[in-house]
Amino acid sequence: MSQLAQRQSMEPADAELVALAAAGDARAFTILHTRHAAGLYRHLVVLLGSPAEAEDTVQHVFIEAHKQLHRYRSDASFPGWLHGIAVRMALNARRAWRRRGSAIERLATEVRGHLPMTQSPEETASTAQQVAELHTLLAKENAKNRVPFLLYYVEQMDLAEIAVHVGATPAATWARIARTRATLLKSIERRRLGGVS
Amino acid sequence: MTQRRDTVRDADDAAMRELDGMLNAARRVAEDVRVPPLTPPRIDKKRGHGWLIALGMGSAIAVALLVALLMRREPEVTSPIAEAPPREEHVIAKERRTLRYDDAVVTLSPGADAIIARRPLVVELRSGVLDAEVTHRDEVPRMVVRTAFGAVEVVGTVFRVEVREDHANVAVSRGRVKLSGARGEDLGFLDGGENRELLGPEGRTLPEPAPRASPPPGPQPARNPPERTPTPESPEWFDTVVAAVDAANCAEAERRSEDKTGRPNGARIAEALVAIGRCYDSKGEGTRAVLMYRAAVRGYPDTPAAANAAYELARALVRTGDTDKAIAAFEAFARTYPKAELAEDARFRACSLEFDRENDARALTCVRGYRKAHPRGTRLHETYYIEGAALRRAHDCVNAIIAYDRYLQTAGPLADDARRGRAWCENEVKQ
Repeated sequence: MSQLAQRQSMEPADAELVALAAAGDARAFTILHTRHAAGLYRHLVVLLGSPAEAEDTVQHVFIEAHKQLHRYRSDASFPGWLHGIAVRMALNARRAWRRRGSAIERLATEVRGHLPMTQSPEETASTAQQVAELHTLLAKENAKNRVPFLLYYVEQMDLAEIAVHVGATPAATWARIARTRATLLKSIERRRLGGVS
Repeated sequence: MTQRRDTVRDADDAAMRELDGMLNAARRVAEDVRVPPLTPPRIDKKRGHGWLIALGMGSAIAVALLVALLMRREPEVTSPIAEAPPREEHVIAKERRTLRYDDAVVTLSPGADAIIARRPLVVELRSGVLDAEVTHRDEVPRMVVRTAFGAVEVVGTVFRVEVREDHANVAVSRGRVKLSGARGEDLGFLDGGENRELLGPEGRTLPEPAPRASPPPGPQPARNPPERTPTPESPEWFDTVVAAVDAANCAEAERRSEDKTGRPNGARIAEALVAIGRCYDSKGEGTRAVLMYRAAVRGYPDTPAAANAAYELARALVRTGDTDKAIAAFEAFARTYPKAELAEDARFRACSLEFDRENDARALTCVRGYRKAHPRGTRLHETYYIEGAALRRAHDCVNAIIAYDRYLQTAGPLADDARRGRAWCENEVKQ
């Protein structure tokens, strides 16, 4: 019987589970996955814009996390630590983003397929289209600008927290966010003017 | 030339609106996206590099499953009759959650527990805080929020309902709501700027003039029994004081409390002083109420009722117009009872008062302190409005825009005002 099974009724804290998983307890790692995979998935949907890629990346993040369990500090939040790994992966995921540039319709269809039908089909389609457009515009941006922008405006994280995740000062992080916003606005304006003429 | 500048500005605004629309859509997707079944990766340290092969195979299987899943989902999406909106949805908000319905935007605070039925929109709020902005149309049935302590029927308004252990609090920012008690009895209307507590099956309500549109929570910071309930060990002294309070004879209650014969222990005296303070409060005699609460806080600081008294003292000082002392009292409450349920509210009220009297530097320090102390606080959203408006007044437009943007990311009752402030700042920055 694993150490965890004996303590099941006590709902162990993340830090305890991490310690057990690092010692080779696979069940502890499974519980960590059960607790945090859904939150991580939503986080990755924001960062990647693609539910399918997010689902795939959740696996990669957990594999990476398992390798680095010994680096986890028990006083830190485990989901926060996982999100940090996810952000680093998103910062490095260049190829997928470049490919994305010409795939707006495919992305919109994919997003639409993962939305619950609590809105009308038209509203759902419009939401998916807007998200696909946003991520297509962002595909032209460097990941160093794109990721903090999404964390700030979509995930609504604090600037200081984002700065820690992306490894920059808050001022530099804000400069990247502001630059990305300005670039996006210019692209939208250009597109609108092009559409008018 | 002017016409050209206007055209450029219109184009800017349109682009900004479009970008905001995209960001809102992304936030909606992040909130609403269906989480597929996620299986934990298979990790076996003994395999050495063999896990790479397993990972490759696992990924291939995952991709195949995903493709199958997507193909299976396709008809659901394209068919207009597939998967009708759920008739009833049970929502337990882990974080602030905004739900949009036909004519209503409902925001649930972290921890709120609600069952929501659509058409007509009926929210059964079991616990936590609900903010709603409703545009009523005659042809659409009115939205109703039900709690264990009574119900709120919405006429077309912006309001908040907060369910606590022993009562519910309704605060209307704009418009009007119709209240009914736990047994369905009519409790009349509540208009913009008013608050009222619903106290449960007795259907009693305590009218309470609001100093601001934002709602005050209930008056129970700690999980103590109600002050007026005599316990077996309570002496006659306490009963006589409470009897006078129940008869709404506050002066007589105060006179009896001064009788030194048979005085009980400090805890009971503090409870009695709070009860007398509330008696004066309900009669609009704020100055006497302040004296009673202050006597309880200063004379019996280690008693359970002292926390109630400290919070009530701060609120009474607001009502008497003594803002300086009210701010100090709220801050003292939050400092002395940092674990109290109302510590967060007290901090926010202090910030709000600083902002109201245009002490912007202090308001900014205050809201930042609030966010640090309560990173998931229920009033977090409103602190960004205060920050934006305070910075705008200080002509720090760049940072004001950032704060306004934060506020506008979620629907709030002050959104129009925030948009105007933001537009003003944008204009300043451009010039």
